[in-house]
Amino acid sequence: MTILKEPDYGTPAVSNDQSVKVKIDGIDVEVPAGTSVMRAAAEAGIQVPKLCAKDSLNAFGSCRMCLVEIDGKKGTPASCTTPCEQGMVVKTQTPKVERLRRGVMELYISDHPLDCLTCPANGDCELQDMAGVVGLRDVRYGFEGSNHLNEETDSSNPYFSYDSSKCIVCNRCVRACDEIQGTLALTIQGRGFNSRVSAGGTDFMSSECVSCGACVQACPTATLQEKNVIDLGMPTRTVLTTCAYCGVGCSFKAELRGDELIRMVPYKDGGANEGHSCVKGRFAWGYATHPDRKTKPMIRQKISDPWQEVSWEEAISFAATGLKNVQQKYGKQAIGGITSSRCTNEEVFVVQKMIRTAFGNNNVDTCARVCHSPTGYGLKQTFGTSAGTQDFKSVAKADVIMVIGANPFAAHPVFASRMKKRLRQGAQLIVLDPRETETVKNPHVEAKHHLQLLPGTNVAVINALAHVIVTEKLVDEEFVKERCDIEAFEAWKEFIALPENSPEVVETISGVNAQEIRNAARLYASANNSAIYYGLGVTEHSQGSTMVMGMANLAMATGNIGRDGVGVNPLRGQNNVQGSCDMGSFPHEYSGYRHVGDDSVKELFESMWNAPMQTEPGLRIPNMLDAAIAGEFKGIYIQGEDIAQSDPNVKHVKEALASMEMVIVQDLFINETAQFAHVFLPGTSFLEKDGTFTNAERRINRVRPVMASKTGKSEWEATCDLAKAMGYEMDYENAAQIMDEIAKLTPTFAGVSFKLLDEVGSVQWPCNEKAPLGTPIMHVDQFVRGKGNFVETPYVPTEEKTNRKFPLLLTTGRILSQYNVGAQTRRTANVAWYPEDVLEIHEADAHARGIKDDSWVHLQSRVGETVLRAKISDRVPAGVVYTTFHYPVSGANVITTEFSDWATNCPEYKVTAVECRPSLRGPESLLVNSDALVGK
Amino acid sequence: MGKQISLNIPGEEKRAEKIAGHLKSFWTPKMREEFFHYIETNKSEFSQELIDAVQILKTK
Amino acid sequence: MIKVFVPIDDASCSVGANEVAHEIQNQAKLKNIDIQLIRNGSRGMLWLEPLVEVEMDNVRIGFANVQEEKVKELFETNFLTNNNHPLTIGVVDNHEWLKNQTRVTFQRVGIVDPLDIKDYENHGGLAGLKNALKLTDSQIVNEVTESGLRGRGGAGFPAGIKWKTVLNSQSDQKYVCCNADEGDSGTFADRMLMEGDPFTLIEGMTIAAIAVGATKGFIYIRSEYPAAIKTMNKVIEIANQSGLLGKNILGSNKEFHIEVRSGAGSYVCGEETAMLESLEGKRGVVRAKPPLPAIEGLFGKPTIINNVLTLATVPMVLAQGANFYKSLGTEKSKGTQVFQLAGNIKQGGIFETSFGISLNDLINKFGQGTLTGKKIKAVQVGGPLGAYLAENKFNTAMDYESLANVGGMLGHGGVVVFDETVDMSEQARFAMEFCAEESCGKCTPCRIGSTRGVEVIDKIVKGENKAANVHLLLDLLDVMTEGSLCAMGGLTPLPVRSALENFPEDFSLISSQVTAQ
Repeated sequence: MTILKEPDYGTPAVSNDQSVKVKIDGIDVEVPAGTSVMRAAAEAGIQVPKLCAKDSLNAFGSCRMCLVEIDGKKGTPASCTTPCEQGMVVKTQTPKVERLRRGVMELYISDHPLDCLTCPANGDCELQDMAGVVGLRDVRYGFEGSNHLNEETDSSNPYFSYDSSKCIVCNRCVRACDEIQGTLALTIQGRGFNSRVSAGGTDFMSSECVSCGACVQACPTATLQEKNVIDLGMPTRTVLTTCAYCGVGCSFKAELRGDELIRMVPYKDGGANEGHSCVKGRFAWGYATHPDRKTKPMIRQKISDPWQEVSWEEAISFAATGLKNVQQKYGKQAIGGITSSRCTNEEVFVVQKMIRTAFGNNNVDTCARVCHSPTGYGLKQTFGTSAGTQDFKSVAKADVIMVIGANPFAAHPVFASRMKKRLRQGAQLIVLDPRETETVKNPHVEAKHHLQLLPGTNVAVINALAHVIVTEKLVDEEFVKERCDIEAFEAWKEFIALPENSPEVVETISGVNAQEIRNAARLYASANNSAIYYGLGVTEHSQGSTMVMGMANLAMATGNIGRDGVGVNPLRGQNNVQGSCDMGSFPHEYSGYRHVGDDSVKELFESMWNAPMQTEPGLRIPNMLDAAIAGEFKGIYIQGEDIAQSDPNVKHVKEALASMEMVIVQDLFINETAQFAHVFLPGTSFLEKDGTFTNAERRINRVRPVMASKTGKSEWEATCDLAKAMGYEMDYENAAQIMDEIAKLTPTFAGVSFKLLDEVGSVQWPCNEKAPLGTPIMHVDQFVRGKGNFVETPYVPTEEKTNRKFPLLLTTGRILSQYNVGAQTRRTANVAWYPEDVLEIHEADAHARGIKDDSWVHLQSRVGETVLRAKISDRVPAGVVYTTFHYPVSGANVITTEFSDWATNCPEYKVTAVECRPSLRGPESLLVNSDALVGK
Repeated sequence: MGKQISLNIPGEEKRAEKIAGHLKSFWTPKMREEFFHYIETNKSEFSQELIDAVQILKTK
Repeated sequence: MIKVFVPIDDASCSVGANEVAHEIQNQAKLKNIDIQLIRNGSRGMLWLEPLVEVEMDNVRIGFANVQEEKVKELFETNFLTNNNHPLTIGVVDNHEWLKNQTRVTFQRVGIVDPLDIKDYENHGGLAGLKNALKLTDSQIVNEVTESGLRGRGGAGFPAGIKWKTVLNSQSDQKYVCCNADEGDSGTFADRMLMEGDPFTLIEGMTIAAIAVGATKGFIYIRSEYPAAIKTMNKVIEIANQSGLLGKNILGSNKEFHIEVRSGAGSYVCGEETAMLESLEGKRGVVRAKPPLPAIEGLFGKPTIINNVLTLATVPMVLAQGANFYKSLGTEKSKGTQVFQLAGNIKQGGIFETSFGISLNDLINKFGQGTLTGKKIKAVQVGGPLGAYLAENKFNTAMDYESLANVGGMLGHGGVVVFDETVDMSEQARFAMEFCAEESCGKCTPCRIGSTRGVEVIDKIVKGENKAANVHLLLDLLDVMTEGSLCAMGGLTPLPVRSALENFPEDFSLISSQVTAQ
């Protein structure tokens, strides 16, 4: 489409049951009481001139362009700050207001450069538009008076610049930073004529700015402008699509000129983000055209050979032959595949279909194995469905927010902004985290209770919270009686009341003060609406699944399920974790979480797919790797995942890969895993994909191709080609057909089609006859499984224990500007914020080991060693060290062990016993040598 | 792994059945076989529920 | 024991009152005379300060303009018992200046010991609060409404109506904020009240709090008033100790706490919404209204915001009744106004009287004309945003309505006199310059307009494109008046326009050039 300019109503929509009728310029309008005159006018199709107003920001009333006359009211009130009153008669165009507007505009322009033709915002400047609208013809003040025309430009941010000389001090950027992002990095410095936007008295890069870009989007002029627009000019067309970073799934307007992407602007109608974004989604997409990107298929006989670029046909045929040979030699079960949460539902669906049909087995797994597989297990057991219960918007109704093992301020920033807004309105925050993260404490929000538990003791603490609720009679008896399985509840109640689950006993295990646990439990149980949000700090443990069920128990016991403001919500790490799980990527389940052993489901798939289905579960990723080392698993197709960097005990992973005979990697870059591959199939970036992503709130969002595939093929086409080369016919004309097949085979997706999504924007599954437009909140009247199921959750300590040799516990996390293993963000200017991983260590631990701040430390676990830079920090308690895993050179996963969740094998990334000591040399000296394994 | 599962599936009643169900739902036949074999030869290491669970699976 | 009064008020101290007090004590000690030195507020006759008073036979005899070096001489003439020293002005209460006033708000200022709550009570203090405690909340509000008391900060909005809005707003928390950011040039009544009779303000705020159900109050005092800040903090402490404030006000079970907060030198923080921002710890920037502070004020809660003089008048209204108060003043401007005479004036100070006195009486009869002895050319009433009135307007009655009729405003009651040597184009320029200096910078007409205003006036004075620039200036004044967010930008045109219209010759213009086109 041509460039999409979303209508702006000037002030936010008001929700109010009462409405008022007003007459504006002779047009009758009825609006909810409390709606501004400006918005009411806009709804009647009348645009009152404005500069400081924007419907994503609260009315401010500073520009004085929107003055109107109202019968019976003296003066010329600003329409943005004046609420409609019943019977009001408003005139938006009178000689008086026209004269005033022109007078105000004359003042603006008397302190503004007259360089419209060469200005980067030319054509997209509200000041320019408004000067036209009010008919300014002359600036009688001249231009020799005081002005700001020679102010310097701040170009410190890699993505946008701040040109103060063009600033009209409308405060939109300052307000966006406050009201939308919640960082408050911007302010106005000075007063009167000297008022200037300031990043807290320093340049943007040195300030608290998190580069979310809300200010750039809010700016009506070229003052805050994307450098891309400055360099390349204004975009001319828009493609609506979805961000491919985290599980929030922000909707974006990709703005292009020709096929060149100029900028990404968050889309106001995006259900997940409602016009907001973070630094990654808005700015860090340059990796798509990074020179490292491989766009041609490549093959090699041995992994020690150099790569050879070949045609698609040759690569596919080589891969198919290789896989068939393996199956001939080692049996049908000797090959498998891994789907990627980075890919679309359609791409994932065809990969698992290929495995179940062309490969003829159930050896399909997905990278969700290493992140949220316990979520699927735990929520299915308790509620009956493997997904979060709410939409993101729901947090605006929460009174108590419990964040467990997640740091949304870094990892899910757009959700964090929503949460922060609610917290600043007075909601209370409880955080369970071994580390004092930004979520626990930042300049504008502080948790009421930070339960700073030792890594690995989640279940003990959640049990203690439940213990308090049960023993202090805080249970919502009515809810439990009506909605839950009473027998299971009674058994659970008896178990949870055991003295071993009391806060006092748990204090000795977890290190969390018993009184603090009691207070937190009371707070959670007594609020009108309490909501749980959690991340990988819950799942990536030996008791990940138990913990998920523990949280579900807590929510059910307090009646915090089935309405706005409550629930149990996973914050998904990858853009399409939810989707890749929904699409049948697990070895035991078809799409829609139906077990392979279910005969009726089997029949459905066999008839649709025209191939025999296996009824026994296939191998999970760790099983595949173990089987490879045992010599029984020899071929693998890996879609967009770098298991040689992201999976635990990297040495073990690499040995397993090196032992295989046909490794096919489909990716954007030659990643660590591709070092062990025989076939490299070039993947497509999200900017080239056509399909859907499903975010953490079950929202199915359209991903539309912004540019032509750089590889000449869609990924699903390559998959179909491979399936066909292996002897199974798989053909689709387009991605929409794949979704149609998904809908036919999956009851929760029955109503989903590209056509519907193009019409309504997005839907949250279940979307079917019962809920044609989707389901924002689940389990409203009853649980998906019928009655809510309480599951006993005994605390079983992990076997990964500290000892004399490894006395510290290592835990891991993420940072705002980088994403997971960094394959994308490291290939953007985001490295300006975070050039390397660091090891946070408590002063006492550092002191005892002679480790100095900013020096190299050698870190060792049972399975591996690495070197990182030390950062002495009081965010971690003594005995715990912390690092991120964004850079391959630091190899955090060289250290992590093979321990995993009992139910799902999700690795126990969050707990590793380690020791560290000062090191003279950097990490290069210690890289686990892939070359040696590869045999170079 | 088996031990870990049995520790995490508590409850008085039907515990062995629950454990058996879990192994049936999530483990490949080959993994189960290897586990049966291991448990046969190292019975003393394992809890009664786990041994019962294996029996249930074997008879199915 | 002989009581000697030496004012502690800042104006008196600036002319040596502290040194005088010290020396009086010194001399008494030397002479072995037992005296009780009381540091009172000023009587408001600033040209007589330091005014030392000695209580003899239950009347107070005054000695004017006492300097440190004169004290010894006073003792030598036995001034403690004998009032024949040349500095004596006789019985202070009989002074023409005071005799012609109707002191209601200022009834105790200069008379009582500001820090002595017993003295306060002995002079009628707490009677209003005690009466209020016998009434229901809406009865108190009605009494205030009935009295006709209007906001003394400048806008003149009926206090009772504001209170009623706060009373009717449902909220878990309400506030009473006293605006003591007295920034208008030529005004000092808030300061003198806080320094001279601070308990009145505490009592007034407490009555307001009880009337609307507020439990927390703030007094926002400009940082340029360190003595007032100190005094208010001190009396809050005393009030807390004596049960006037706290959890159980005068045994009534009602709760109210007050804190003093000080500004940081911004004029616009005297604007009520900017003051709220400042109180919340933010930049002192004006908020758009609605919402009204009475509904969404401090921290978003219903808030009474009243000026010092408004709140300090409340105890009198409650003590003597609405009828007493409304019997004073004119039809629409009820009660008294505390006029502050300043600038080039012979007798400057506080003159509290009923609304309706003529400007001429104030400046000529009581003010006695200019200090320089030259002819009065202009009088600016109502602070830096008030109009400059020329001689032909001196017969105007001093009340809200009459001043508005002549294009002026009463403001906070400041009256600043200029003699014939003043250049009104400079004064007009100054008005714009003041606005440019003090604008919060939020709205465009004020932020840019004030700076452009200075530039355009300069061009007019220099004679550049005179007609076009006068036209431009008049257009700008319109944009500022009609378009500004608050009174700062909205009223700055008042002094400019009045200077232009009343004194065109100072701009080398003739009057037909300066009427709006």
